[in-house]
Amino acid sequence: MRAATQFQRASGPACPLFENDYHSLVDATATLDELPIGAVGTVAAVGCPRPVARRLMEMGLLPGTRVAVVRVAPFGDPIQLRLRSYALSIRRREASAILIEDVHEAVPATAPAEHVAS
Amino acid sequence: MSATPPREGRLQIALAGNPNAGKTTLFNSLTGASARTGNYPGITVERRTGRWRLSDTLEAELLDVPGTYSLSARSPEEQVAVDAVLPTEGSAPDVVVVVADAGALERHLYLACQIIDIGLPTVLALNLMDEATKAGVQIDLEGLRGALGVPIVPLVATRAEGVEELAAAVAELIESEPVAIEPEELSSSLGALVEPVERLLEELRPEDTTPGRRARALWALLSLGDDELQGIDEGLREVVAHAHQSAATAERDLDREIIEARYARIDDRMRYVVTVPAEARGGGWTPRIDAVLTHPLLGALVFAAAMLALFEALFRGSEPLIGGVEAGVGFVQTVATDLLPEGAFRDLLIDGVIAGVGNVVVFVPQIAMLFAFVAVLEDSGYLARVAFMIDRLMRGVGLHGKAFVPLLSGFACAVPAVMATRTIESRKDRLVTMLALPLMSCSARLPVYALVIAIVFPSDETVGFVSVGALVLFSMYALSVASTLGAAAVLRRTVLRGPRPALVLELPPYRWPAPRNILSSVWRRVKSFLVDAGTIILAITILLWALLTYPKDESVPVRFADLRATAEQTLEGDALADRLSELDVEEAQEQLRSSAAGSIGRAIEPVIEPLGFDWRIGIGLIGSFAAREVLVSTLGIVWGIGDDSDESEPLREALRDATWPDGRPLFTTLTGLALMVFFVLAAQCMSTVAVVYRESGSWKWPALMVLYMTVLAYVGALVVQQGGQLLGYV
Repeated sequence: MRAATQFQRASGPACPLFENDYHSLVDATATLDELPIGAVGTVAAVGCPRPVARRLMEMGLLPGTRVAVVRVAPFGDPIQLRLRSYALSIRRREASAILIEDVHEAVPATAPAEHVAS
Repeated sequence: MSATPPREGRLQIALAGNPNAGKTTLFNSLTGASARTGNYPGITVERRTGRWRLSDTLEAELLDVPGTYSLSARSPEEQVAVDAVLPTEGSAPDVVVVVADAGALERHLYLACQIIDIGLPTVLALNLMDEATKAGVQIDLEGLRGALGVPIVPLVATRAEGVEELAAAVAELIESEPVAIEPEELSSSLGALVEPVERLLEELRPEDTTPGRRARALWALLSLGDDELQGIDEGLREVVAHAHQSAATAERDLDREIIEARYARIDDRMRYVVTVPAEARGGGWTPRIDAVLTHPLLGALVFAAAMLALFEALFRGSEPLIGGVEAGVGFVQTVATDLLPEGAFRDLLIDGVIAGVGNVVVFVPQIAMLFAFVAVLEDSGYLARVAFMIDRLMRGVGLHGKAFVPLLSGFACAVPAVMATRTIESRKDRLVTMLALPLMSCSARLPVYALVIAIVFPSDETVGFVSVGALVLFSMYALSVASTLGAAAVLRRTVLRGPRPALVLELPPYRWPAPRNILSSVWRRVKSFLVDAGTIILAITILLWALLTYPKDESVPVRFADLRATAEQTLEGDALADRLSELDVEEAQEQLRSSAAGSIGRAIEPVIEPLGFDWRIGIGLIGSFAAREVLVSTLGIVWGIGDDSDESEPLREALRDATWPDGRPLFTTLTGLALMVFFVLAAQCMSTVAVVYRESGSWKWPALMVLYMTVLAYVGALVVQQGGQLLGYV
């Protein structure tokens, strides 16, 4: 375990991303670049070099923040994220230093519940 | 505190906000035609100010603070935003208006809270209310006002809705008693680390208020350590470094704690007053548009179409306008010729000043078109997507994804392209792009290629289906692209090396661009080009004209007056007219040969001879510094054909027949190739030099550009000429 629990905070944003979505638990922890398109997780640690980490954190990518991987650029890099009601793009290199826990694969909110069950 | 009313002198108001919050739109609508654009000394950040009428009696100067996500700064460029609200020197603004996107308040409130915590009178302008409301975002304005402690004004800046209310709120704030603001609350463990910094700041800046001091301490802790800031007190640096060390010893991350504490407060304050439905969190329509526009196939098609449209506009669309400018200049020159008495003054006015103004104005159509295009790309949100899609490719040579549009525009003309690099935030990225892109083969090189290809490659020669000329032309473009990318990669690893900045790119929601913003952006660029680069271009045009005209050989006009007199006596009708125009051309030729440029051409002949160029081509090289295509007309004068470039066949013949004094042909295939390679690589354009000076804010960068490109051009042409000879070609 990558000591992810120590980063969990009670004061994290109370509003999870895509509240109405149905989630299926995929993995306990991963780095952000490993997440498949559509996956949602919670940032556990931002391990980038200081200037990048600071910039990302100031833009809201903090431990405890829910983040979704929306898409990957046509040439495989960078990736597009969604967090705090906006879209952010970072490269895989930086994403590989960001630890994510509580990873779920999002199923679109429009899908009926029984469809998911079957 | 600075808000004590009434205040002497004009009221100062700062307008701050995140990029993409609609700050520029709001600025334009508040200041109208009074906006003025300047530059911060030494750096390439635009400084815009304008007059804002708050009421019948109150008028303020509004400063447009560069868009930023936070106040922390590592570079002098980023420091501009901090200095606007938390100045190290001079006075703080009387009021700060923070613009935020009502639809993405969580992140926009980070900067807003940072500014509110400084303790200056602040108004929060919630822009894009229409969008937020449509997306179902609910904001309890009174509740938010209570939570943040500052007046809040909902706005739709594109429709100027709420602008009067904003003015009223600001006026009320100025006229009311200043409210004491509590410094940002910190937990005791964090406070213990911040405290030593605050204590030092109390000594360094006794004039700061308590909240201001705390804000400055937090700014220092986040900014200092790996920065490029100048003029920072060494003691402050030490105490900040010490605080970070103490934190690290206790296995704490001070940056994270400060940022986390701020976001925790934002989340707290927003919890009961802002409701964001799940669809709005997902981004509404934007993801659906993105699905098409960033799709590997569809996205590439749209992108190609957009770039093709840009290309078409820059190349073809601008043609009639450029033709119009040229015709207009020609007309003014004719009128002036008729009105003024013959003499040195008339020559200076017509061939120096009017031609120089023409050289400046001729760029305006392309600059206006490119900036209208870039403004639409930027304001609609598409430019960020272009950067997103192309980043992977550009990164390999050390360029930013946003460098793509300027580079591509370089095929048309480097002058507007260099100006378009302003969309790139990082100074190093911008400089690399600016210094490499003049290698892109601009449209002014085409007449040169066309002339040389026509001289040395007969049009009926083919390789397979393709004519040799087309193949050579294609090779020149390939060489230009390869050398641009190569130069960027080398610059990135040498003079402009440094840690490659990470890409942290917001992809803003798609929006309709506001026509007013586009017009204002175009007008700003055109004006700054005319004023700053234009004056340099005008001065160099006059200098080049003088070089090509003086010193005059006084015996020449006398001799030609005799010849004309003889002709008039012996010939008549068409024969006389022909002879007279022949004499005009010969006179121009002789004068050019005796001019300073002629002397310089002879002086540099030993240097350019290894490239296969004689002194006459040397004069052409000097003349073409005014604009590359001028080579054609200068060669026309040197060879005594006249400078009418439409009648190019006689010039081609003359150049084909030209020889060295010992009878060897001058324009061999190798010389032709060497000349073209020289023109691909050389910084043979004073307007580009002037605009790079204007955009980089120093002569150092254009000097470096001219130096490296000239070396590259010389070596390139030398390799072609000498290498070709070694391989047995002629």
